[in-house]
Amino acid sequence: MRDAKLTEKLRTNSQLLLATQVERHVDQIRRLGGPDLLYWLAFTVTVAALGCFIADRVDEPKFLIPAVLLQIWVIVMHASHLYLRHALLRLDFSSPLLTLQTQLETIRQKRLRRFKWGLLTGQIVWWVPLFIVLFKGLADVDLYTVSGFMPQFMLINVFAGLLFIPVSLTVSRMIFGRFGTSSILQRVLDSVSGRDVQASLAFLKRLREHGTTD
Amino acid sequence: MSSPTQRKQFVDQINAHRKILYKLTFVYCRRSDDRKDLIQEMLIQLWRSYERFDGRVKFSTWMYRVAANTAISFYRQGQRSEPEFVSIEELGTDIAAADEAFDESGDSMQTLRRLIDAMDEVNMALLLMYLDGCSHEDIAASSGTSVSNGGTRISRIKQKLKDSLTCGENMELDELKLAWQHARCKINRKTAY
Repeated sequence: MRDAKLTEKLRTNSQLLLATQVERHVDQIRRLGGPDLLYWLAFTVTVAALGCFIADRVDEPKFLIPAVLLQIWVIVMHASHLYLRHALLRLDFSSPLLTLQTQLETIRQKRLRRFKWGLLTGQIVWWVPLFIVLFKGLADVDLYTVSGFMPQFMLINVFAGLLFIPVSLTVSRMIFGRFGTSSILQRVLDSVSGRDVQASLAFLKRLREHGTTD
Repeated sequence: MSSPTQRKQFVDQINAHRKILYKLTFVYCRRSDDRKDLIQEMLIQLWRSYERFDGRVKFSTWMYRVAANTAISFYRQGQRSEPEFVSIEELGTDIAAADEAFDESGDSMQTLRRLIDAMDEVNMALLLMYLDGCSHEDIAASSGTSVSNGGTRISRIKQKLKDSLTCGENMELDELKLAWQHARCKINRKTAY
């Protein structure tokens, strides 16, 4: 009898404790699911600053083009981030396993591709165009005229950035797997070489096979 | 989903079916730390999804789907988890007691562990439903296939298990299923308040 009472008391206490913890979870989950303030701040400031820069230099293509390139890159990356985030939040985890896993993996695949191409195209955008815009916008320095060699130097760098894409694709395919599964470098290499997308495609194929009786 | 009544309802229902979480963590994780992380992720996902629960299916079925989907994703991420929010013991789950229940089941559970490790992440969930004695209809509904396909998948899993068992262990598939059910009962007892 006493044991039963004690058990009941313990059970009640545990449930009270659990209810308190759930309250804490609600706040933590809300913070996780809410918009990332720093991310939005960085995006807004960047887009606004670039927008002003573009508006001021509509008739100067040598500044306009790099600024527009940067703006496009920022907006495309942001839009794709929002799209994928929204898609992820809309997922219903109580869907049947094959349905949810297929949806989840499709989103994951898109995220992997986004990361890969963001990283690769970023090599072009976030080097020469950024410095042209940054120097002009912040210090009113025209990098094209800093020295006679500058235009050639910029051109070489733009081509180097373009060349970086096929070179990094090839090199990453050659050396993937040499840095262990946990290193960040290995993850970047997996992404650039497309190995993680291949793994994702293989998983989707397995899911499709599960859905058929073959 | 913020009223105290709904929260209490959620907590009560999770408590009533918490063995689903233990079983899934046994199937999808080898290390105790991973099991704790997975339980935490499952609880977070259950809480996030709870507002969509409309009672059209049984709570246990709903909970199994959410938890299994979370477990598969966790497994596919290479068992990396988000930073810990709160100790899972505080949430009323007792992973140590559940581990103990599985350990006490001895060789059978080790054999089962070995067989599970040879399966892919979807078959792991199907195997769990088979071991729990779910009908083909239930399996089909939870996995998202047709009933006949669900049946075929289960037959293949059973065949695979039988083949694997005859290679080494002197054990029948039914014994394994029985051992699993014993472990389930032990979990219920050991983790009860």
